[in-house]
Amino acid sequence: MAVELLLGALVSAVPIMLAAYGEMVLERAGRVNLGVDGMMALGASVAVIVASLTSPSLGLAAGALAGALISLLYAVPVVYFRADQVVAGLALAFLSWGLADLVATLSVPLSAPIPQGSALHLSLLLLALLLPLVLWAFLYFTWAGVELRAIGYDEKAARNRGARVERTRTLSALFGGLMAGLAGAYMSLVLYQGKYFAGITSGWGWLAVGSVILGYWHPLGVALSTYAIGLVLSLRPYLEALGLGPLSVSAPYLVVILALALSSLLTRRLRLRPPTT
Amino acid sequence: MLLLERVTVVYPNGLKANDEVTVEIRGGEILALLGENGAGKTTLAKVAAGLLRPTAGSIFLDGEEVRFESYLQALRRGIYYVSQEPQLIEGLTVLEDVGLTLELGGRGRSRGELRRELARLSAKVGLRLEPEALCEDLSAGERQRVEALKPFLLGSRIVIFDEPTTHMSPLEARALGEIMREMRREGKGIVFITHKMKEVLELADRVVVMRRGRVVGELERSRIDEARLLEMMFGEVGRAAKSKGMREPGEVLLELRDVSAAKLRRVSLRVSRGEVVGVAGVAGNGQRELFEVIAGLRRAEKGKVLLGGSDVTSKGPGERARLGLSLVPEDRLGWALVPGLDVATNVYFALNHKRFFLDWREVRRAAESALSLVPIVGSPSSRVESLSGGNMQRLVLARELFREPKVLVAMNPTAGLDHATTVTVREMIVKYSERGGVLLISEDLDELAEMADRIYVMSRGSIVGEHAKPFDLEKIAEQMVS
Amino acid sequence: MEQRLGGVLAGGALGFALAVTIASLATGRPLEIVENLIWVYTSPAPLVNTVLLSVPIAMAAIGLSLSYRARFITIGAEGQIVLGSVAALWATAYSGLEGSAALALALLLPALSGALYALIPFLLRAYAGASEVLTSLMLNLVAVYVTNYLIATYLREGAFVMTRIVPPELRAEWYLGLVMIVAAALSAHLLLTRTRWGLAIEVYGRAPKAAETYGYSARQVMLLVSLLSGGLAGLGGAVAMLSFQHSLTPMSFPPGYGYAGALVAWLSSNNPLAALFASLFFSSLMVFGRSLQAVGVPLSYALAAQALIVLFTLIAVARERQWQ
Repeated sequence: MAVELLLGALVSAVPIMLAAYGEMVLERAGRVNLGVDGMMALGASVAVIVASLTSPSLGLAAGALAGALISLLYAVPVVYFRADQVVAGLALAFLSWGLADLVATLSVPLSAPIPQGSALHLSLLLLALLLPLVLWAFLYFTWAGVELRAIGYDEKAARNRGARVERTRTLSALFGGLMAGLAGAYMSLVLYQGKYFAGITSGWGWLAVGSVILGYWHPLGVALSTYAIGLVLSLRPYLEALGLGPLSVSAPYLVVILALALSSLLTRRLRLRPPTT
Repeated sequence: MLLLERVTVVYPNGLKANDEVTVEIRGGEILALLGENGAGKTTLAKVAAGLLRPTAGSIFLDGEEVRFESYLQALRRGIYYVSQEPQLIEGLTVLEDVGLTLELGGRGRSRGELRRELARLSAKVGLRLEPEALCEDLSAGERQRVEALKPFLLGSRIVIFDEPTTHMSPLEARALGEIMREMRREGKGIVFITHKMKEVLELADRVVVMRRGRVVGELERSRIDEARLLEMMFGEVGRAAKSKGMREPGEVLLELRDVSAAKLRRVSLRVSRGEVVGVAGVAGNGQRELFEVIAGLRRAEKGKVLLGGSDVTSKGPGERARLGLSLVPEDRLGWALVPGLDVATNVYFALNHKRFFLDWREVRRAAESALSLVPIVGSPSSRVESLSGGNMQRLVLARELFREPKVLVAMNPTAGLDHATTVTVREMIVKYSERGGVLLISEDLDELAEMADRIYVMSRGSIVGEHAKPFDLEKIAEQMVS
Repeated sequence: MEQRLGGVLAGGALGFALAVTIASLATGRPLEIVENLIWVYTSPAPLVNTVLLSVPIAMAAIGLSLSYRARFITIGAEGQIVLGSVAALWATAYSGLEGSAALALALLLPALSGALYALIPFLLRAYAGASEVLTSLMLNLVAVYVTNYLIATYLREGAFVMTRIVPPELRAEWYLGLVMIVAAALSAHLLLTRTRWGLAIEVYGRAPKAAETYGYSARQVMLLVSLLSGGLAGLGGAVAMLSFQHSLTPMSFPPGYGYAGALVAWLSSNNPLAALFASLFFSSLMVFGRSLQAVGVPLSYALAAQALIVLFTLIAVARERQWQ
């Protein structure tokens, strides 16, 4: 049972992991995109349509691409017009939710989901496990990664030095959108067997944003924090068995809120300076 | 090597920072650009470094006219600018920071290579450097020296230092001087911006003096003499040196007893009525924390803070203000003043009246009476961020003195101000000290020597010395870096 | 300021046009879409609905504009509204009280529950330093789940998962909400411009360090705006329950009044009086969106249209700023 639980946690953690990696990269470049949940929803919706017309793997790709495309609506105002990133991010979330539902009205339910345990599914699991190592290597051992972090630490100084702030942030936002879209596609194609419905993400995008903070903006830290959230998610049946019913749905949010408070407290106590502005 | 010809820079607010300035930079020479604050030296340097495009004028590099669209372009053409505030990126390691500069400057290399080169170079210029140290852990002086190493690695031909010694101890400044001489030996052209006479006399091969955006004189090494330079810098009037008469201090108004908090270690000091007490120190040695503990923004973990005889250790800023504490913080906009609000509201909010409903006529009256204390260009209804830096500081002082405090605590009150405002601000503070006590925390030792009756020296969060008039400045400088 | 208004109008028009285009394309029935659009702005029934739906939006927006002025970026109005309507439902249909006593409780209890719920992000921010943006967002979901739980258990009535209904004699007339939002906007405006609290909010929001240095406590300011915005949102939820919701069914996602309120606050530069007009506009979009359900447009379309308008406004305003 323990192995089952640990593996089950990974299966449910994957979307949060993928989305959080993308958001982490953007935050390391000094910007926060609160639109993750919306981009996930759009990815989920587009993936179902494209998968029903073509194949599941193309569905995944299309979901990711949709997330990347819509993230431009965040990147352009925020990066090039210096608009408020909180407003832009939330507006993007709301817009994407609506678009996702709207797109879904055009589709027919899909009969060919990605079966759990299939090669495609396993490769996604592998991606979720290996990507943090890749990102770690990128951020800490390549000059492009150093440039990205420099922009996050101190935009002005980095810009003065010739760092390509706008380009880096736009690319990071696109990567964030790509990962969120892929995460959403995984939710609809794998977790919900090829179905999309309004509210499909049930707020996991917010969990992903929170887990970036909990993982202290480090790829390996984020991998751990998202996996921990996956564990809480897969404990749900046990909580429900305790008679908490629908209340158990809120468990991951309460846990993350509490963890956020504790980690902020710890950061303050240790006088740490988070690696992003 | 580099010729700036008839460079004119007009800022959007209409200020003419450079007015037809022509300066030539030659290889194998240290050129000092001398002038008081606001003379236009930094503006000129930024034009040379591609950070600022001139309104008019031309730049010639090796006889060929160039137009720098960015800092990076200038850097790639062999010009390196070290700005006044060390521009290392906090969060990166020294190795990463240097490597990033090289990478973006088109001189990228691998980590291993860079590590070896850094070791070789730092041995050459006599500088110990830990490549894996985080930039944020470096002192201001260390940061400047890391910056000073970069031109060697970039192969820059022209290096511009903008007031590099502002945050340095005398020892560190000497080390930097050595680096500049090494650069000269390699045939680089060095521009050294400063307002300190002593450094010019020590290092410069040639001096260009600027005043109010214009070049007012140029002297070769053999003809450099202090009196001439001073006259050029300040015009015929010269520096109005005013020293105040000795007075008997009255009762103790502000006292710290063995205060420890964050960086601060067992700090004790007292300020009495009728005196200006200085706190000297190199930036980052706990002065900000000291200011915050006195203001009530930071809790004293140990020890006591007394204001006019009553213990305010556990009292907040509001309570302390009511007991007669006035504050002139280091940053004007955002700390002393609120951007986006008008001048009148900026006066009124700090008076912190307890009345629930506001009477805007009264707000305006309060502002007008405060403004009557000092001439300010700008009406009570103008937005505070439209004021010049000098006017902002006049406004802050007027407001704080209008409260008729017992103690005034000011931190670097003249930093970045023009000469005229500096004089006004210093006069206002000294004049006020006849009625109350002043604690002046300043990085500018000359300022302290001019104004203070007593000077405490701060280093690494502790008071390491106390000096009375006449001051032994050598000794104070020594203690600052102990 | 006029510059900004221009940007808002230009961005708003563009966003609006695009939202209508998207709906036309998605449904393939542009004629019906435009017909509906005209109907929404000309017929009495949808106009009354616009006023009704604008109440929770405006109450949230007015409170949030105070909060955002103090740079306390809570997005929690959504959850506070939900709890407010639950509290109002309980007071009118479950408490056993009748008449004006029930009505009084149906306003007091929601305001209180909204304010109390708003205390959580405040406490987490003020005492632990946790970002209120994220905690308040997630608390919205928690509020929805708790409400679903209550609907399925304590408030459940009959064979289906639904609640009792607000008794007809306790329901509010459509114009009462209008009176309430105008009063709230005026009070918020007076608070901001004529009182020490308003000054503290303005000063703290623009320069927190200056506020603290000269004796305005950060915690007090944050507490003040939290309680005010939470209370107002809770009241908005109460009026929604009394004037048009009347009962509750389980939700799979929050209804969106609080999110719209946040968008309205930004659109109106955190000006409570301007927020009134923006709220009416945004609620008309909701009415429009609901009218399109018949042609297969999903409920979330309205929120998306609102978001699109805000995104375009962001760009338009920023462009003007750059030209200056």
